[in-house]
Amino acid sequence: MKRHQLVLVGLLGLYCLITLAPFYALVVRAFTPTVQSTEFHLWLPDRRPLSMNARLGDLATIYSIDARAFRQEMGIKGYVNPQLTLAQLAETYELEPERIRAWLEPRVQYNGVLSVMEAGFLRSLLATIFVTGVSVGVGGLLGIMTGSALAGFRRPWHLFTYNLYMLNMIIPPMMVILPQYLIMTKVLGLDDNYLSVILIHIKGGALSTMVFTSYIATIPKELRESVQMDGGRHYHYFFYVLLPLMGTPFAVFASIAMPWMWNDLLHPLVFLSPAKYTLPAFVAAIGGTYTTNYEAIFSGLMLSLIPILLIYLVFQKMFVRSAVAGAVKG
Amino acid sequence: MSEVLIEGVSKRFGRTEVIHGIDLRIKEGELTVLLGPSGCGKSTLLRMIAGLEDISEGVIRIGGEEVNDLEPVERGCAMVFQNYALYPHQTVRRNMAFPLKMARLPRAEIARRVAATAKLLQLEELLDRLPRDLSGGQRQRVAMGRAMIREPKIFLFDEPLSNLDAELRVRMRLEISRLQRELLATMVFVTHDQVEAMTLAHRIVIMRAGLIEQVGTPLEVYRRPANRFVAGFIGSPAMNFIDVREVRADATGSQLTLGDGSTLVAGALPAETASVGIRPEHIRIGLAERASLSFAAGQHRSIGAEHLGDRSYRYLSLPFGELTMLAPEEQVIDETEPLAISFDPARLHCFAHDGRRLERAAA
Amino acid sequence: MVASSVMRRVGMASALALFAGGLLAGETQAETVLQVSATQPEYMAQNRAIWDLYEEENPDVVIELFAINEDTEAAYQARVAAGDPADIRGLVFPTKDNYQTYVNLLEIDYPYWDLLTYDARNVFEQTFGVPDYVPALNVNGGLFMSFVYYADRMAEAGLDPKSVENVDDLRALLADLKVYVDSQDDLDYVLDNGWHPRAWGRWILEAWGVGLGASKEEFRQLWLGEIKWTDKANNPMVPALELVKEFTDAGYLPPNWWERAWEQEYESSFIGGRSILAYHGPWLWNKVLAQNPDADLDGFFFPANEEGVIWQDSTTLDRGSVLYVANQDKDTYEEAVKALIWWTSPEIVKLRAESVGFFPAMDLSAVGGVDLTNPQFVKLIKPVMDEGAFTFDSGLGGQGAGGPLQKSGTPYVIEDNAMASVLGEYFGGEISLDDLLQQMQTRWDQAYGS
Ligand SMILES: Nc1ncnc2c1ncn2[C@@H]1O[C@H](COP(=O)(O)OP(=O)(O)O)[C@@H](O)[C@H]1O
Ligand SMILES: [Mg+2]
Repeated sequence: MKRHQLVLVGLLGLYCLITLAPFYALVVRAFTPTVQSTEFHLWLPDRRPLSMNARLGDLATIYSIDARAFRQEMGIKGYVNPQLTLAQLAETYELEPERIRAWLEPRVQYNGVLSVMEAGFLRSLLATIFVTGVSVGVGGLLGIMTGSALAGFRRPWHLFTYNLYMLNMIIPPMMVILPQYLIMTKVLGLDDNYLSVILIHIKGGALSTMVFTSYIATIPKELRESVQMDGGRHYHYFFYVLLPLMGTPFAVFASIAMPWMWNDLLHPLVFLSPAKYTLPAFVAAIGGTYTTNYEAIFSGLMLSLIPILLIYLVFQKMFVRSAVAGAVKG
Repeated sequence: MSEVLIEGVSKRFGRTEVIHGIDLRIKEGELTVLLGPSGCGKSTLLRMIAGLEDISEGVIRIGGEEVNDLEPVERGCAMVFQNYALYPHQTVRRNMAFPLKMARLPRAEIARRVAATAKLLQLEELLDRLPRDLSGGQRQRVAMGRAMIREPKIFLFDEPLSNLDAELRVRMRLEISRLQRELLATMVFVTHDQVEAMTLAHRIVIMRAGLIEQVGTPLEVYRRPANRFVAGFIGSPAMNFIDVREVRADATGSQLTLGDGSTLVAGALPAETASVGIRPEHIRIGLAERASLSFAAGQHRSIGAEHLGDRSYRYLSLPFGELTMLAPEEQVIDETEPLAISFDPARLHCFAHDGRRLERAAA
Repeated sequence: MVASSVMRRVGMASALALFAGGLLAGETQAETVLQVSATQPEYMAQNRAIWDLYEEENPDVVIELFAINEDTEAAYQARVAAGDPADIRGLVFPTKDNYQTYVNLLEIDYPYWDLLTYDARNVFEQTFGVPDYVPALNVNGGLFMSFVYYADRMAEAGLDPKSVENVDDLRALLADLKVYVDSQDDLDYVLDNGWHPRAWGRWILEAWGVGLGASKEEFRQLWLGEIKWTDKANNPMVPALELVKEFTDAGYLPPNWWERAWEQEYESSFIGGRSILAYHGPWLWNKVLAQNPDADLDGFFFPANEEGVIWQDSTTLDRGSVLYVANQDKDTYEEAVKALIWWTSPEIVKLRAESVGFFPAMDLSAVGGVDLTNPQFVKLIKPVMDEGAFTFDSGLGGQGAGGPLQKSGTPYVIEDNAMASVLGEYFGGEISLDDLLQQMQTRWDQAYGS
């Protein structure tokens, strides 16, 4: 290899490292005890073993341990003072200390991951996939329809409509959250319903309109005329010709919109109840006011990144195709 | 019956009128070429026949029936577009089957017709390919196949060959001719290439700026162009035009005074002749013909040549203007020697001030 | 081919959607669902255990307990603004700008007014000048600020913090501790601290001021405009400011401590063992023991003044629980009232106090008194109380007393993040005490002056 090639490879390697470093740091932090979370760790730090002097309430507060589940697991009926230490609990309720330890130890050892799992991560993940999937799918379809109507700006009102859509982009979501909330709950009766978040995601999307309008404008009008000559109606054109051509712009749209919808924090927080939170709201709700289980938060972040990474890997071919589509003319 | 009758048809886009009240009859079973410079309204006229554009004024009849308000498919026209407009995500087979599918033909019938058409166009091998895996000529044939498969009354072509290279263009021209003869189809073919028009057409419609300048067979428009525009547009290189200052008639014929004051003697020409035209291929070097012009050494200058092999076009600068002529390759024109050129006066075309053709009295 | 695969994918997506929709939507409806926010997000579990008792007693009621923290507060406020708040919210700080959002609890039949150990019916008038209105019900007694230290490390250093009886003892302790800290690689700070607007603006400077000879009455006079902030001789806060500057200059407090984040830097360094002495409220004890249950923690108060008075925060409506006016017309309102009364009844206040370890502002002798086992109480407060040598003044603090004068929407004099850098300029030696007092005076004039 020549020297400049070596330098190039070196620089690329460095770039990869810089790009991947945050992911690595996130994984490490997801397993770093909260007490050590203010220091920077290159590798998982050691953790103190569970002490029988720990109080149940403190464990609940610091490690987000579900005291209710603990009581059920230990077969304790009725109210338990959370200020009791584990040793006191064992004595009062005549429990084997080992049994207590066996149940609690892993929850402390892998606190972050287990807390978010027990707090309902999978349910939240399903909800997120549902909301994001429907939003991307329906939003994309609506964008294609809008785009096929507006492409080329053949009438003056087309441009006007397009600009209206674009205006959407400059309105901060926080500014319209109140009227939106009122419309969703009072007019549409969608309080605590995933549809409300989906509606917000797909309403007058500036991005989808922009992507599909500009892409559809590059499709020769002869294709539509040809369908017309062949005796097809507009919907034939839409389903047989236009839709199959939308893979590329859809990949562009999805790859930009999907992370945004996936990571939307504000709307699920406002429109949904905690039991239905999507992932970002779910992770945000892990935090406290004076104490924060950082380990759980970082675990939540890490776990909520994995599915979207998987989605990218699965659909990679589509995204790559969208990137090279400009180079090879069909 | 698939005669197309165009009666007083105009087309306006917003406030601009681009077709100004055209009358035209396109005969059944003929290949009619719409020829004219870019932007003259050929495609617009074709698209009005197809039903892709509204007709602002006038009537179009196909087979005697007014079609102004009919959908394209009801007019029995098929169209081949310049960019072929093949459906990119469908195989050749599905592309060709599409019109039949829209017509809700039974599957077996569709398959039969696709096979037959593919055979006719030698597309059998390509049926399962996607358009992007075809060459230009193959795409062209698929587009033709898709147009043919519905057995339309009328084929409409909008510059279908202009995306092909020269060699392929010649081949496809022959192919279209052959198909036309075999199917006895009525075809309307739009082009701005006069060679294509001359070689393909039964009848050429020459258009300029939204108006028809002349309708005729290729030989008619070549031999008797209706005006200076057509005369200049048909033939390559273009006809030479020489401005005439004065026409004086005497016993032997007419004596023309040219722009530079020199004179030319030709057969009897109309008195109002303002310019005469002569095609490059009708000019000879030397005094072999009846009408002749002589230039002293230094009066003529060569400004270029185009070699065709055995002959070449010579571009000369003469006292009354520039002149193109066809000469044998071995003919040498020496600027330091005198030069004489001559031609048969019967080959002269006379035009009035407004460009109109003037007919000569029979010689 | 491609079209069909797209269709197939769309089909799969919608199937998944239906599946997920069915899975997620299916929740059984009880007769009444009450949405209740935790008194603090970290006390979800403790609160939950108590609300479980309520559900047991009232099988037709479901308590949906949820947490509101900094990240989710804005979204919650949007719900409130849209007229759809939770049924009961804990941890509210009512002010004269927002109290009308909350139901006047004088209008519900709350049976335990007379058990509250502070003047709950009138405290909102005293602190905000609004008569006959109780927007929140608070059962948390005023908190105690204290020094907290790792006893084993202090012993190792040969120091006995419990012996501190006056400010000079404190100075000597800090000087000795500094020598020890400097000699230890794992220790970075002598007296750990950081910036928290409420801790400094409302608690620490007043607590130290009282210890240094002032009374809470003088602080009230300061906020009511009866003592000028610029009156160096009489301003009760001046000795405290000077002492903090002295400790800063001596290198006892961390360098630029006013720029250190309260939780992420200050608390973390103490919990992580990079310091062994801090000054804090009750939570730090819990946090340390939660992370390290075997930690040997102990504490001592800032020395009492000559009258033997030790500062304790006043009990106001802050941190109380509220009902919302917007819910008054809803079907669940009657149940919410019932639940709130239960939540603030003596039996339950006892459980709540014991479960998270706060000193209750309610006379619980009828239910057998409170048995607090939280570390700050056991190690520090209880022994001092039992000894009886000192009195704790939980009277209204300066800022609380100044409330009725404060103009709507104006910042407090010190409880404001903008004050971190101003105080920092003084403690860092960039401006004089006179300059600082002048700035405080100006802020007071703007917010409280007529
Ligand atoms: N959709 C349209 N809107 C406005 N003007 C048009 C439109 N289509 C064609 N024109 C104009 O009409 C004239 C004729 O166009 P066309 O028929 O395409 O010419 P050509 O003879 O090159 O095929 C041109 O001046 C063109 O600019
Ligand atoms: Mg054209």
